Amino acid sequence: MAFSLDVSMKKTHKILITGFIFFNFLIMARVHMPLNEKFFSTLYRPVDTYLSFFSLYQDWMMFAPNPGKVNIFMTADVEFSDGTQGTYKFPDPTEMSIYEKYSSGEKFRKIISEGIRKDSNQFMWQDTAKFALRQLRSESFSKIPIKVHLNRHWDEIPNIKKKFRSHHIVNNQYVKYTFYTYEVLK
Amino acid sequence: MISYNKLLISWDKFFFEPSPTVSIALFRICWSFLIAIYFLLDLQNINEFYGPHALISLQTVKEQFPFAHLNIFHSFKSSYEMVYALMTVYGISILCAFFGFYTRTSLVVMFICMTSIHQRNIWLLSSSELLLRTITIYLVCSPCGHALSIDSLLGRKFKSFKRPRDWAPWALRLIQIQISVVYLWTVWHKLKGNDWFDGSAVYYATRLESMKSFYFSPMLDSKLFLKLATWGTLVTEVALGTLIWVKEFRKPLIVIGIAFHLGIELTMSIPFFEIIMISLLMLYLTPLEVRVFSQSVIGKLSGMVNEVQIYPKLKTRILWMMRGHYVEN
Repeated sequence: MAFSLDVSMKKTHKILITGFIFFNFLIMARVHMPLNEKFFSTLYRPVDTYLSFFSLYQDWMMFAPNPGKVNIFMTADVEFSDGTQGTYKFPDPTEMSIYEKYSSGEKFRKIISEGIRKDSNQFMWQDTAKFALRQLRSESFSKIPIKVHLNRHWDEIPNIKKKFRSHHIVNNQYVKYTFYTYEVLK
Repeated sequence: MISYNKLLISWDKFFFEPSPTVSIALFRICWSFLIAIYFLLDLQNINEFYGPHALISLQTVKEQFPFAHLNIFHSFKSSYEMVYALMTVYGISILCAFFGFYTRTSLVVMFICMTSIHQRNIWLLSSSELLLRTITIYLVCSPCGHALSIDSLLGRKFKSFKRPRDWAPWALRLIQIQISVVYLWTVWHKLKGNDWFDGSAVYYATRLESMKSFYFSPMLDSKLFLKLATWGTLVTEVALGTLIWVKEFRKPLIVIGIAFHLGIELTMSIPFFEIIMISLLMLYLTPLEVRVFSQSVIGKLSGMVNEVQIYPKLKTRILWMMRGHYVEN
């Protein structure tokens, strides 16, 4: 019964699909194209509209050109009006189970190590400080927060030729730097 | 030299020669299952990443992306009700895609919901999510609901659901080419760095605390092993991007690819990426190989159903549904 249906394709359909196939080849090849040249920038205008609409830009730079060499986590120190201080540690995949890594760990790793920590992403900092404040609210409900300091803590993986770090060694000495202060009452 | 006509014939054969849709249908089931797992785990992140009190506010996202892009969140006020409604539609569409019920519509809805959720907080995303979106859009274009689906069963009774079991495999071919591109582009980018050349890349990658999975210290502490693993990664990725198209190498490379990704999964925690790549490698199996595999699984399951004591009519019905696809062929 099923084979009684016509499986051949009309010529116009084939031409349209071939066009779509080439369109997808352009998408795949985009990362290697000289987009500053007029021909390619014109060619890629419709492709870019499509890509940005669906967020489909491809680069596939997994551990490339070099793997990251910095372990990083983030904390927020909150100053309260009574002089006390509270600290919130942002979820750190290092301390998570495999299940937690799969559900939220990788997302926190990505946004902290490649997003919030970078100076080029200052637009995220106020939201991040407010988020930390909300997380601390349950344990300091009656206190009035004055300032939130965002800190990044990092540890550089030593050069393999200078100081080989064993796989099981976990370095606990991280460098701390406060990169943003949010004044709550301002 | 290859003539223009020969080239056209080869192109036509490669993209348009009708072939059984069972492989892409089986892949649809695997893919929807993967997305379902991702979705269920992501439900726990509503407060942190998608709700009105998320880490990055919706206002900030709107300011950063002022251009037109697919994000349902922008059409509504940020609220938990909106997120739950979106998640509900997303969940239902995944379920429908899995069972192949109104398959293409389900996949379109699934893609819209997925992209909206991804674009709500784009800074969380990695290559895994990009692959989910990229492959789902190809799957929308494919005849993945023509077999192993409720749609195909309905096609026996209702004309509007009737679809041919053999169809042009151009969408499947695009996915296969996309997989090769993933491997080849990553090697291209890696060759721009020093660590992949001098053999130290795996040393640095396995020392990232947030990505550590299980400890394999004796192996990962051997400088010789680290070098071989670094260069071996490049060789494997090049082979998976090129030689997998050669008939003689295809099956061994699928096995090597699975072992390669499982190895990474065991030593490093890169959620979903390795599992996604393994499921994608299955698409290089021919429809005949997939059919033999499916038949053996269905045969075993039918045997199990046969042994269960249930209402005979229901048993017959279940067995008919399970074997249905092959009865027609």
